[in-house]
Amino acid sequence: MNDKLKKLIRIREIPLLFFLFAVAILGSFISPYFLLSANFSAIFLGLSLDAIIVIAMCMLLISGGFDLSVGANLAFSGMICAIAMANFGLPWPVACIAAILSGTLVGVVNGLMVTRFYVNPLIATLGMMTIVRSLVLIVSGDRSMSSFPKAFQWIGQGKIFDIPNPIWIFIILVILAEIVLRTMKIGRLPFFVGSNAQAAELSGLRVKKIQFILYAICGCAAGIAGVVSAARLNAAFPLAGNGAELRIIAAAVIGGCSLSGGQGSIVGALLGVILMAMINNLLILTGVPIYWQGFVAGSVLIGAVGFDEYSKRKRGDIRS
Amino acid sequence: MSDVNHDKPALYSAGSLIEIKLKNISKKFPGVQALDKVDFFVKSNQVHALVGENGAGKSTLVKIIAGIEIHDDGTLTINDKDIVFSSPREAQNHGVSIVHQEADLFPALTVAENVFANNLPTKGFLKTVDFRKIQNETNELLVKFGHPEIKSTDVVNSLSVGQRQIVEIIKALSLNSNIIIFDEPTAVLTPSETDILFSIINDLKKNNIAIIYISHRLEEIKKIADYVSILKDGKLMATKKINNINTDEMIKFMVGRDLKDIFEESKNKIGEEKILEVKNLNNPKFFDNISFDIKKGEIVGFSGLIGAGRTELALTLFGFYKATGGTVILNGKNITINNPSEAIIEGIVYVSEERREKGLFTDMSIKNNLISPNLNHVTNKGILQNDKINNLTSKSINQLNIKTNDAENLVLKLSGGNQQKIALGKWLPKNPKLLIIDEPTRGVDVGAKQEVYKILRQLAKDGTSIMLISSELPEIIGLCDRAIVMHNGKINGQLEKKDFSEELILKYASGYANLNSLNINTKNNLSHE
Repeated sequence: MNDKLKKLIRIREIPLLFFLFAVAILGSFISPYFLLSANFSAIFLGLSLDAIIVIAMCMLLISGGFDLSVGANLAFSGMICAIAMANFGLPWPVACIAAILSGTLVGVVNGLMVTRFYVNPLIATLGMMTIVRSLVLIVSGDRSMSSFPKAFQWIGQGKIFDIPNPIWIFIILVILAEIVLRTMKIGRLPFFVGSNAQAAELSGLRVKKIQFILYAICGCAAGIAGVVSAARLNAAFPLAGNGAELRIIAAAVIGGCSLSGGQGSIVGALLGVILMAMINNLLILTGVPIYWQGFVAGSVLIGAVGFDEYSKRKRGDIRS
Repeated sequence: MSDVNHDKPALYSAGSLIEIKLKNISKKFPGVQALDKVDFFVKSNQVHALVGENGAGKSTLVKIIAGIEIHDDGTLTINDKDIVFSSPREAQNHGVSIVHQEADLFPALTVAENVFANNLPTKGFLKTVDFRKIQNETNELLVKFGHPEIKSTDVVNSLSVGQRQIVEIIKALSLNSNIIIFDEPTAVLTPSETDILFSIINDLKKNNIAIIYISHRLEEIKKIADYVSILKDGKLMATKKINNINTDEMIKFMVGRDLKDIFEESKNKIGEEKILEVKNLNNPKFFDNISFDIKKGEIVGFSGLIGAGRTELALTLFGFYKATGGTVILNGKNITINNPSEAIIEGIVYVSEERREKGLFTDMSIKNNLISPNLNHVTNKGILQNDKINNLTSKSINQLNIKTNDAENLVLKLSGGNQQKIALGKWLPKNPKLLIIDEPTRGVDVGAKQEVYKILRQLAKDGTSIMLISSELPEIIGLCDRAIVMHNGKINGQLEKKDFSEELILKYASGYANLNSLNINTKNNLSHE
């Protein structure tokens, strides 16, 4: 058991957790509001959409894949949900399902492009991102839609045991995904595919099928996030999720995912999202001009990855 | 065009004489003593050939000379001056170039740009590339070496493998090299291309250039070399003037050790039933009309030169490539295999010759590698069972004698031998009917080689049929019950164990003989084609 603990420490979570605490303690000195539960609740509510998507993005990154279309997909699914209710008068549960399906469909197309037509994931999903952004404008006419049924709004605004629903949603998804990844056979597959796709193929794994499913899951997660977003704001905006894709990928990488695949964990990726959100929150609380946010986020990203790669080479885990 | 302008400095240095000497050179890689106190020399106007089995240390030795690797011990002198090359660039500055087996060129650029890639001449205030100059000089050289059909403006992509090699040679010349290393240059050449290469080498020799020539084909060495050095397991076995040694003696030095030490007498109980029957298998890209069979518990060796189509045949049987025609019968049942996953379900497994690229998850743990094809064995209703994983791992580690203190160690930290044991051993829990193993001991030290052989023997004894692809003749002869020799995508010969001989296999492999026209007793044919 002790050995296992050591292995866990070598993965990114533990140092990340320490860093997180350090930021929290620092924050409590800098701003008296930082550690208030209201502030924390706000932080977590704010990061819940990213957290939902980062779960799927993390699995995709582990398999060596990549999806830039999640932000656009979030806006698209939210809009589909809104249109289904407002223009077609569908009951809200049906609208939710339609939205999640449309998100999944975007993922399916990504998966087809990458696995069947051999389009580079960066190109495929970059193209998809612009296509879907455009689709959002086409179906919405560049107008926000709002005023949804109360029951629908509850998804995003309601609370259970005083914790907002979006937080519950991502916590449940994180736990489910983490169980799958750590304990189930199918959870091992992304690691093998990402570590060495050729060896995985020659070991009898259906590499393309696995990659395809992971792209579909990523689209599905963006769909769920789109629904939650619409419900929480009681509105679907054409520009929802703008820039989310890079923010999410950066957070996952800070959390230990590698762009070349084969490593990463969902808890790590989640911690990455939390860390970035906390730092941003702290910057706002201390009145640092908002222009600095990108500067800090970029520095953290480069610093975390640089440090990790450097120490790995020092340990000899990678031959440079 | 034959009169080259002599006012310009010659593109190849006909001027200075050079002599390079290596003394007591040693080099250790993790787990392998690649070179052990090796002496070597070559000087202008000489061709010094380097022979030895795979893993004997030939490549390491020339890499040290070319500045790609740095020796741990020993001295290297050029014209009696001590020198250590810390980079290929430095070696090039001293006139050392390698002509690689697989041409090391920029495929999308022109011949002229490739030739002058390292030192593009410029002109004018803006230092623009002097394309006219590089084209003219390249053309001159091409003409000089009898290849006016290659144009300096051709894109390398459009050239044949042999033509690419000529470009590489010309590139080496443009660097003013006076030592040129040829690393198995003929492995990818046709016989007529080989003849052209030899006449080029003779030309170079006359122009004061010193040549180091690596090859597996001993008959070539008799033709082209002045000296031959034979390496075995990192040790220098002999350095001889070429006239003072014959092919048989070279082979004896190469194989050196008593084969009996490594290959215990085979006592396979080969069954009567044919496990695998392949009939008229076709794949126009790689091979055609392949028919053979393998019996239960039989080890059948596949010999042949690089490019003979052995690996492609294996990958086709494994479902990685698709056959365009023919039938495969496994256990009496006609099978069609569309992908490796289906092959594995049928009981066919494959161990790649490129174990890092295709066989292993090097950045993952030993444990994860060992369970990778066996996930169904270690799960219960889709949930991974830690006790089953640990059982399987520790059993495999013991059975394969993998030297490690922790199954969680990363595979990339293991020696080549231990890595190979994992690449092979991960299949054992599946009890395969047919194991296809490609170059099982490439880059593996002698001790681990024996262990790999032991594992293969044990598997055969337990009834697994083995298709063993190997370029090492002693391996074919010592380990296999039968040998099939391929040449240019065809089966060119089949030998029963009692007929095994290196010469015979080499003959079949180089295509010089085929079943009908072969006269076994004329051994000397080898040196005269």
